[in-house]
Amino acid sequence: MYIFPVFKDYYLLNVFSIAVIYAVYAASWDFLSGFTGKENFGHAAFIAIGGYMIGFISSVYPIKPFLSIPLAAVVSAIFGILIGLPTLKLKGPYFALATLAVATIFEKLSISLSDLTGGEEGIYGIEFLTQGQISSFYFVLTFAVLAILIMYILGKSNFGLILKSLRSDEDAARALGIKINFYKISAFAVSSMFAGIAGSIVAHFYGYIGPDIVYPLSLNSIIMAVVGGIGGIVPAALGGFFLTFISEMLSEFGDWNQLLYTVVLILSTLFLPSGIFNYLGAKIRTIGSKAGEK
Amino acid sequence: MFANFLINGAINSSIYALIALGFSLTFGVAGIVNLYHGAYYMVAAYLVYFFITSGIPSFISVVLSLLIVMVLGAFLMKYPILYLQKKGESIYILIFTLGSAYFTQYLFKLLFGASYYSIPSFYDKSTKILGEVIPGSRLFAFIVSVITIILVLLFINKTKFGKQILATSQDKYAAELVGVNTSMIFVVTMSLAALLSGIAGIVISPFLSISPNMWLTTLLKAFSIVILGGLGSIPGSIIAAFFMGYLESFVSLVWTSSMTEVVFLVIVFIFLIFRPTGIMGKKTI
Amino acid sequence: MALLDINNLYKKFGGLVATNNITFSVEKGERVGILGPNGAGKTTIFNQVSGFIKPDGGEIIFNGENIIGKSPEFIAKKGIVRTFQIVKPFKGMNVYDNLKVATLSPKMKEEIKNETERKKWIEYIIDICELKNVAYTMTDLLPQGYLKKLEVAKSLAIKPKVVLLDEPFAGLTHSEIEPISKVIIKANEVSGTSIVLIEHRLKEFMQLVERVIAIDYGEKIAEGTPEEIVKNKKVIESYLGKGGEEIVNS
Repeated sequence: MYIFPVFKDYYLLNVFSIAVIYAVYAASWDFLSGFTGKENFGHAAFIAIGGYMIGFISSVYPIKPFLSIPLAAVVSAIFGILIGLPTLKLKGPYFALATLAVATIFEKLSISLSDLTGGEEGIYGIEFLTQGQISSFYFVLTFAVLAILIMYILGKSNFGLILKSLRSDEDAARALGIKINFYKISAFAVSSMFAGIAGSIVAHFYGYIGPDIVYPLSLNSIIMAVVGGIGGIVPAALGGFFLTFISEMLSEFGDWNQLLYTVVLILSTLFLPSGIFNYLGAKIRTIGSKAGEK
Repeated sequence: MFANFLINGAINSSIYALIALGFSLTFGVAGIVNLYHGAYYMVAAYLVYFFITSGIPSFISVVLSLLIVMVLGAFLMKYPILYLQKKGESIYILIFTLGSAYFTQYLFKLLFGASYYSIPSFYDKSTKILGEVIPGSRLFAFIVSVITIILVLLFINKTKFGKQILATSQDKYAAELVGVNTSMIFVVTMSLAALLSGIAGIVISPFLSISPNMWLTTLLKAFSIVILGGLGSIPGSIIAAFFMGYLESFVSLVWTSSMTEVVFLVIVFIFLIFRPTGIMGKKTI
Repeated sequence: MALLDINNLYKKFGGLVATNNITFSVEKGERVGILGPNGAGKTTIFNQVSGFIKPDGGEIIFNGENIIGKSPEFIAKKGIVRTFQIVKPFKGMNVYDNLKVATLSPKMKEEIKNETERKKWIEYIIDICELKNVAYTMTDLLPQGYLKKLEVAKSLAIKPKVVLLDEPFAGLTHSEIEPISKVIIKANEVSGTSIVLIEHRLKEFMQLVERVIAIDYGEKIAEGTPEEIVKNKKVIESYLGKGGEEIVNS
């Protein structure tokens, strides 16, 4: 509580923790979709892999986070590659449908295979992340900062530049000899890995995994990233953080809250397609350079 | 048993074909993947429920509801979608239409609650076909769907306006050159698509429940059918709708009805990977 | 043996023969033009040589190796690079980064050791392609003339042995063509890059190339120096139809 003395109670701490995890969801969506232009409409499937894996293991053996999180990282990266390989060549709406189909298959299976998944109820009794609320919060915060930083650095690197080149024209990149499949698969693996880790951390954080905290994330990840701004990791992550924070603070308004969420999305696609934080970033830079001239 | 499979398959298929037809038209003519398509289906169903429970005669309720979804479709195309299309990033159209559909879902949840509703049957005399008793509401849905599909196909192929729609779908620029107002064609096509989806939503309401998330499964089915049939191919969509309708009946016959969607989506996924152009589609990717 | 030997290249699309046993070769440091009316199959040849379309038959021998049916990535790494008729800049980034993407291809990764060298090389390309004043401009804002230049610059940035240029002058004004034409000659003379050119701007085309291969309906109809080609009966007919010769002569 040294750094965040504002947190008088655990409620805010909780909201804050969830918001930083959601920032990772949005950033990991951006890493694949914002960079390469392959709009993933089923990001929840990547998150589900991490979360449900922990749930399955926990129901037979109380796995501890230090073991389960690396495991989730490996499994979800492999899952990303497995989804990436067949869908590589699909463009636009075809890719959207394929990913939407994967996430919907996951959702239906997690509800109907209730012996394994607990159905609508989900799986309870997962080991908590750490013993205390505050230490859990620091754990989540450290992870989120690291994850976002790694994706940001990768995005800024030569690797990220190549991913961006695929967004406008894959053929132009191939003509120069760039192995586009390698880069697309890598983007899938990274995106899926961070989504999966975040999913597993959420499972440990709540001690629970279930359809209600996973499947709405296919849409919400898109909303958070697009409203924040795509193609730069940090704007998307900020979008995830602030939208989640605000929406958690307004959660007592229930359905109004969700309605507001979609209104924000609609307005921002129409009037600020580059995203709020990309827009603000550009504004600050122009003001900065004008001040510099003086 | 077999007769039941045969008849129910036909009824489901005809409704799917009706929904998919509009989705396919919107893509074929305007090049737009409209993720709001399932929402028209929901909006029409809720409106009819609302009007009927407000004491308005069912015929007038239906006509009013359909008019409203048609206007809604025309509005969405004319303003936000065409605006986004001019800006050139098709991803924003996908996100906008999906976001709007969720908006409608949450709005209806607020207005009507999360409960399930249904409306009285428009025709409730059950009929015996092949020894099976078919409820009147299902038979009515089948007949209305088939007639509507036939009328739409006639409209497109025989009328001057329909031919302009066809011309636009084949080559937008050539159509513009010969004086077709393609923006107007887009608006009319979307309105027509909304009408078809709305009709489907109304005819199923007496025997399926009305709920705020009914649009998503419908959208997924329409989308899948249209991809299976080949994006933009009307005959392909109709064939794929029948394939899907019977597949569902088959899965629920030999396995369980809760797995119908999973099986179908797995097939769609496999199709996307090995034959993304669908059964009848032109090679587009 | 020439640098690039194309023997009996054959491709059929459905019932249509797009390239019918086309044979020609390109020597090191040569500037070759491919001439023919629209739909003659010129771009289809480029698509096959660069690996974007799989040929149905024939051989493409590059540096003694048959590269027919290989992937575009493989062929680019070997040193053949193509440009596109409709420019394909990488959007959402500036000219410098566009060229940087090219230097990150496997071929240049081997040749460039570190980031300082990379920077130097990109700046060299920017310099010879006269892109200096737009180096940090986003490609989304560039006019067509610069985009056409960038298209050529990107291809030169991977130090190719052969460049296949697909209508680099299309849609440009006379004054816009000259700098691009100069860049092409410079690349050819300074680095010995072989150039294969498709172009409809006949005056500029004939000035640039040393040898012309004329094709029509997917078949080679003539080959020779520009002077020979403009007098060739078959070539005139393919452009102007039967009796074309009289029109030219009159």
